[in-house]
Amino acid sequence: MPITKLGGLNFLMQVRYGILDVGHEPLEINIHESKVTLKKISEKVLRYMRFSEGVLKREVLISGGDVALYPFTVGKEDEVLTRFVYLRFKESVSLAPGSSIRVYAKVPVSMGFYGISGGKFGLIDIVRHENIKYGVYGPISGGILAKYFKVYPRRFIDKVLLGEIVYTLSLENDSGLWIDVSKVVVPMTDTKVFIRGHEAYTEIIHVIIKSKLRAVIELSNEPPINGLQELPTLPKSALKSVSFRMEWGV
Amino acid sequence: MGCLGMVTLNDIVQELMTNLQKLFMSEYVADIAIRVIPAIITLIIGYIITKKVTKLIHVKLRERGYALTVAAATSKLLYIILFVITVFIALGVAGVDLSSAALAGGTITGLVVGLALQPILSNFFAGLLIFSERPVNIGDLVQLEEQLGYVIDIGLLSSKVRKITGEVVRIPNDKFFTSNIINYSKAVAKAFELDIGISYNSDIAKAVKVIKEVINKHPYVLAEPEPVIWVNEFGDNAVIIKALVWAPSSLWIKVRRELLEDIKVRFDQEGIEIPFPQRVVWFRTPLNIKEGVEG
Repeated sequence: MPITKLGGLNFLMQVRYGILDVGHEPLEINIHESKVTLKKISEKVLRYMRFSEGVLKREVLISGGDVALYPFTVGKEDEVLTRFVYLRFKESVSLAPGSSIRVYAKVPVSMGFYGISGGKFGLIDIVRHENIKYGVYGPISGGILAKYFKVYPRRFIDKVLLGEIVYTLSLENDSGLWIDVSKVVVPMTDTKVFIRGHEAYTEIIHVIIKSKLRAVIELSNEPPINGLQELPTLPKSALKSVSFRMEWGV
Repeated sequence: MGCLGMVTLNDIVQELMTNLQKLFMSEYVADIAIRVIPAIITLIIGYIITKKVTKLIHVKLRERGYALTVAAATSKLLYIILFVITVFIALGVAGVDLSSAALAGGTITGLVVGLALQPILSNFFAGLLIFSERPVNIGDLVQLEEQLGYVIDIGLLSSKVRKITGEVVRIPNDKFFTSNIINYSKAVAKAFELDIGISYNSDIAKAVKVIKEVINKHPYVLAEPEPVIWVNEFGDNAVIIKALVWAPSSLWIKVRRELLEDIKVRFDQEGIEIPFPQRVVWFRTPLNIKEGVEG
């Protein structure tokens, strides 16, 4: 479980999304095989340091404002390659004609550290999750490249750790046939993210299956459970809005 | 001193100055200056506005998510249109009769087009076709004849390709239609093969396992389509293991390079030998080797 350590006191507490409380003692956060240290070096200046396997990977001086931590669903490097997430089910979901089911899939998520001042955010660093993989959905020529996760579609949300995000999928069979769903491709950039404490969830994503080859992905703007807070508008690139149709099978 | 026959140097300078003064004071020159200077100023202002407007359009189109090629093509076309308008306005300011200029220009253009501009026009129309048909886009990895590199600019007459070795090559646009071109970026992924030789003494299963681990660990080796690894050949000096790997089209060169390096490092760590060519020589008659003999 990712924990914070304040100074040398080994004071254990769960990190929460939002503004981080950096006191006089340095704040250490262990996440995704990286260790992040935030240290106050004067009244208004913080030093941000990220280590990976003991090697300093990034060091930033932050003047004025606070530092906040939020899930980072689309990395800058990912954007160059893709705007989609490909969820490959380890066990397929069989749907009778006209039936629907809500399933949850947990995947690792990168972490974004932001500077905040006067309601304005600036991205300081991204702590990427391990085992990043990509896959092609559809044909090699004309298909799409997507960030790839092999997941178990779960009926209930179990414990969510910091560094994980829960995709909430409403699979709806509108085809009039029995359908076996083994994969879902979701547009990453437009999907809303909700947070509570250290937990992160996507909005409810409707996967409306029209035939064995075609499904329509609709974003609902609704949180999957009550008591969640929508992620504030964070800096991201000027990508066009995307809608998506799965045209090469479910 | 200073005399040149009967005429002194001073006389020459004075004569020159008087003639220049007459020339500049003449109505003809004054009239030209009055028309030409504002025309030049119009050209300069028009040029600056044209540059600013096209740059702004380019930025706005990119912000709205349009592809780099579309933004570049639109801004370049707009640049030409605005610049031609600027030239016509400047000519008007200079007092040139535009109707006669257009007629004369049209006739001359017709002649020039017919005689001299054929290759330029073929490149120009090829440029327009590139913008409309988009056989290549800015950022695509292409192979055109011997040139392998990334398209960095598409102009109306020629395009620029940055070779993977860094040099920038200018390619006439008609080459994109008259030559065989491989556009690696048209497909989202590209497969490539790795041939890895291990010595006959090495453990094949262990080597395959190590290769699989290295390949699966690389983020840009695609999970789908899955990589495939198999023993392909018993070579003269090595057992050849082949791996077929898929990577994003724009990254396959980098992925291939990194995989080869990582496999060598892991083989060294695991004690798996990559052999060098060797021959076992059989002698027809036994060799007498004496041990411990010097000189």
